[in-house]
Amino acid sequence: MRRKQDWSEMREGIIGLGEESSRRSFYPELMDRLAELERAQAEITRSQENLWTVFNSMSDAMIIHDLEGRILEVNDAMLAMFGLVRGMCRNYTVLDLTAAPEGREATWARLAELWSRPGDSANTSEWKVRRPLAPEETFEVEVSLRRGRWYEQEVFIAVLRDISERKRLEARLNETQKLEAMGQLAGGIAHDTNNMLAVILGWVDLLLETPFDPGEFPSHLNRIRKAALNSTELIRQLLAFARRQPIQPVVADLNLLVDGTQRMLGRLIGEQYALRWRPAQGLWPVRMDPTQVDQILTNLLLNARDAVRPGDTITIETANLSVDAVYAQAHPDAAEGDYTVLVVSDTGQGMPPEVVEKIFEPFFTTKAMGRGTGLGLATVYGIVRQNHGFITVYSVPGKGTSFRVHFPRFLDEGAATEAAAEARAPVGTETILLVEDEESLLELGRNLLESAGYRVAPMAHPLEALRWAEEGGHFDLLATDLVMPGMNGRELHDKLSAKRPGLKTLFLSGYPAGAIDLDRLPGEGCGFLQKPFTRTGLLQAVRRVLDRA
Amino acid sequence: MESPALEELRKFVAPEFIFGRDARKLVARYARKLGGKRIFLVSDPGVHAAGWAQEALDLLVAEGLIVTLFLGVSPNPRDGEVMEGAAAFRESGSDLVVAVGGGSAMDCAKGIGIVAQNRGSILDYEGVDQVPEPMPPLICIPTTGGTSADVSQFAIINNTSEKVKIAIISKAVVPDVALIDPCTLVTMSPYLTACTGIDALVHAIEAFVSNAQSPITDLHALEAIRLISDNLRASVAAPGDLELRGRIMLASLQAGLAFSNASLGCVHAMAHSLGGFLDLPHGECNALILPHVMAYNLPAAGDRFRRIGEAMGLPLDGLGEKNCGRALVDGVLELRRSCGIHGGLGDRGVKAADLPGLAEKAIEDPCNATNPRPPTRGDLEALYAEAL
Ligand SMILES: [Fe+2]
Repeated sequence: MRRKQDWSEMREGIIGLGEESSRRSFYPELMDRLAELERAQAEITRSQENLWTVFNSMSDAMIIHDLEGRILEVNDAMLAMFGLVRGMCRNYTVLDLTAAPEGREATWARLAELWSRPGDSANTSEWKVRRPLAPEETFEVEVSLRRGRWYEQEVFIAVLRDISERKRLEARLNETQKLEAMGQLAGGIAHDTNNMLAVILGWVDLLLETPFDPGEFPSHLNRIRKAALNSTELIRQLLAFARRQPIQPVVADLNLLVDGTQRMLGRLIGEQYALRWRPAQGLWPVRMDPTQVDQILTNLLLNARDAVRPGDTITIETANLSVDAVYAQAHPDAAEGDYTVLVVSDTGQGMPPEVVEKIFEPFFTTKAMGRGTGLGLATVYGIVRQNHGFITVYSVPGKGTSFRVHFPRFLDEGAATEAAAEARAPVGTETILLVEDEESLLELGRNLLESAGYRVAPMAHPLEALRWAEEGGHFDLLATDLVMPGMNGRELHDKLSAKRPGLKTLFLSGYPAGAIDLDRLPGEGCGFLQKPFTRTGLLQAVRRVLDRA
Repeated sequence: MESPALEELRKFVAPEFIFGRDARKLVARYARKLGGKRIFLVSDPGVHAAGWAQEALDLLVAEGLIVTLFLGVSPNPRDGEVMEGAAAFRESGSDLVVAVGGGSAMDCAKGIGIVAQNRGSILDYEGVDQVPEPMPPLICIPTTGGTSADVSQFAIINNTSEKVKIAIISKAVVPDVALIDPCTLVTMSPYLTACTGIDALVHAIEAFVSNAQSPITDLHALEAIRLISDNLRASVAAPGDLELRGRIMLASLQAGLAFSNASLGCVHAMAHSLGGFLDLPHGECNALILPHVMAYNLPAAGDRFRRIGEAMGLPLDGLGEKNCGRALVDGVLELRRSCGIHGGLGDRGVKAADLPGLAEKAIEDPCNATNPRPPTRGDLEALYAEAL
C-alpha cells in the first residue's frame, strides 16, 4: 500500500505540475551580470556603511530636514546633543528643536526667513535651541545651513555646533578684559581724584584760615564745586564702563559722547602719548547706547596705545560719509546710505595685511601674554554690527593704523537729541520726606530741596521716618536712600504706601542702576536717581515723580 | 482506459529541435546563439571514432569558440564519469555543453550540467524535480535511433556502488536544442540498430499504456509504433539506406516526445536494474523484457494494447481480448527475432539466484509509477524469471 501511494505522488511529479516542475533557463551572461551586480551591490553597501560611520563620527550634529522642517535623518552627535534616540527624531520638526521664547509662530517666521535666504553655499547663524524632552533647557548653537538633495527631495543639511561653552568663555573673557581696563583706569582716576581732593582741601583750608570775605567767598566755593564735579564725572564714567545692562540706544551727537569720555581715555593711554581730538562740524546724529560708544573708544584706544611708540600721536576724529553703491560693493559689510564716522588713528608701528585680515577674530591677538585678551576688537566689531554699522581698517607697517567706525545716520530729525543742554532746574512747594542714613548727604539734599522752595522732613533713619509718618506727618513725596541699615528703601516704601495708596517715591542709590534690580522696584509713581547727583539732576527727578498722574 | 481529454491539466515538454538531413551542422550557430564561449563537448570513444564528435569540434572551433573534448563516457554512463566530467567542465571554465552520441553521451552530459551548476554528487538529484538550479545550456546531437535523451526530461545514470541505474526526472534536464540528423545513424551496426529500434518501440508502447498518457502523447506514441513496425526490419537489413534511417529516427523522436511526457513502465524499471547489474545495452535489455511485461499488463489495458496491435499492422479483427493479447506478444517476439535479437536473460549470464536482487532494485525505479498495473516486488521477480 505504501508503495502504491508513493507512485501516485511520483506520477504527479512526472506529469510535471509540481511547484518545482517549470523549466528555468540558464544564461551565462545573465549569471555573469548577476554576479557583477551582486559585487556592485556589496560594494555600495560597504561604501554606505563607511559613509554612515563617518556621518556618525562627526562631533558636530547633523540634521537633514525638508523644506517644511520635517526631520529626515540625523547623526549620533545630534541624538546626543538633543537627548533623543534614533527613531524618535522623525516625530519632530526643526521648530520643536528651536527655543521659542517669542512663541511658536514668531519662531516659525524666523526659521522661514532663514530658509528663504538665497544661495547654494552654506550660511551660518547662531540659534538658541532646546531639547524636545526638556524644552526649558536651552543652549546655543552655531548652525551652518546648506541646500542639497536627499533621495529625490530638496532638503536642508544643517550642521550644528554647540557654542554654549564658547559663549560662556567669551563672556568671561570679556569681563576679564573689562576688569583689566578698569584696573588701568583706576590708577588714572585715583590720580585725578587725588588732585581734585587736594584742590578742594586747599581751598577749604584757605577759607577756614582766612577771615570771611563776602566778596571772594562765592568764587572760592565755585572753585571747590568745580573740583568736586570733576571727580563725580570721572566716577560716573567708571561706573558706566563697569555697568552691565541691556543696551539703551538714544539719539545722540557723537561729538558730545566722545567729549564725555575722552578725558578718561587720556588717562587710559598714558601721558607720554599725544591724544588729539578733532570733532567735525555739523555731524549727523546717531542712535546709540552711549556705553557702547565708550566701549568702542576704549578698545580702539587701547589697541592704538599698544601700537604707538613714545612721541607718536593718536587722533580721534569724527566725520560724515555717504556710502554709494560702488563703495558698498568694495566693502562687504557696508550698505548704501549715510554714516557718521568715528576715526581712531595712530602714527604707530602699523600692521601687515595678514594681521589686518584677522584682527576682528575673537581671541586673535598680537599682544604678549597677559597684555590683552584678543577680545577687544572682536567686541568692537560685534557692537558695530549690532548697530548696523561697519568698520574699515587702513594700516601701513611702520606708518600707522586707522580704524574707521561707521554708524548709520539717524534720520528722524524731528526728535530732539536726548543729550540736549541741561534744562533749568524746576522748583516746587510740596512737602518731601527725605530719608538718608549718611548725614552729610541728608543735609545736602535738604538744602538743595529747600533752596528750590520745597518743605523737607529730613530723617536719618527709616524707623524714625515711619514713626514721624504714623504720628500724622504729612508729605507729598518720599525721597529715600535704597540701601540703609535696619530697613531698606524698598521696605520703607512698602510700609508707608500700605496706608497711602499711590504714594510717590524717589529712590536714591550710590550703586549703579545695573547693580540693583530696577524691575523689582515698585513701578507706579516711583522714580530712581543715581548718586552722586547734581542739584539740577535731583530737582528734575523730584519734579518728574511729583508730576506723574 | 480511455480518459477524457479535460480530466486533468496536462503539460507537454519538448526542446527546440531541428529534424532533418545535416541538422547536426547547425551546432556552432546554436552554441554561439545560446551565449557559449567555451564549449564542453561530450562524446564517447565509439562515436568519436565514427568522426561525428570531430566534425562538431571543427565546426565549433571554426566559429571561434574554445572547445574542451570529453570522451570519458562508457555505455551506461557511470556516476564517477559524470563527476569527472563536471570537474573538467569547471576547470576549463566552460559555459555550454554539446553532447554528440547515443543515450550514454547525452545522459552523461545532462549529469555533468547538473553537477557543474548545483555542485554535490550526481546521486543527490535522483527522483522527480530534484534539480534546483538550471544547468548550463545543452545542445544534443543524437547518433542512435532510440534513446531519445535528446528530447526527454530523463537522465539515467549508473550508480556503480549500488549496481543500479538511477533516474533523474526534471524539466531542468530537457536540452535547449536537439539537432536530430538521420545521417548520423548510418554508422550504427545492425545489432545496435535493432537494439535502439526496439528501445524506441518500448518507449512508445510504455508511453501509450502509461497511466499518465494524454491525447498529445498518444498521437506521437502510435505514430512511432507504426513507423518502427513498418521500417525496423528493413533498416537493420539495409544499414546504408538513409530513407529508412530517417523513418527510424523520426520514430525515435516521436517515441521520445511521448514517453518524456507520459513516462514509462515496468519494462524500463526492470531494464534499468538489469543494465546496472550486467552492463548490457539498454535496448537489448528492453527487448528481452518487453513481451513478458506486455503480457503482465494486458488485463489492465486491454483496449490500448489492441490499438498498439492495430498500429503494428497485426490482423486482430474478430479476436477476443485474450487472443488479441497473445497475437500482440507474438508480434513483438517476431519483430525482435527478425531484427536479430535472440535468447533470454539466462543466455546473457543472469542466474536464478540474481533475480530477487534485481527485483529488489527494480521495484525502487520511478518508472513503475506510471505502469498501468501497479507492480509488486514479487511481480517483477516473476517477470524476470519468465525472461530468463
Ligand atoms: Fe529506453
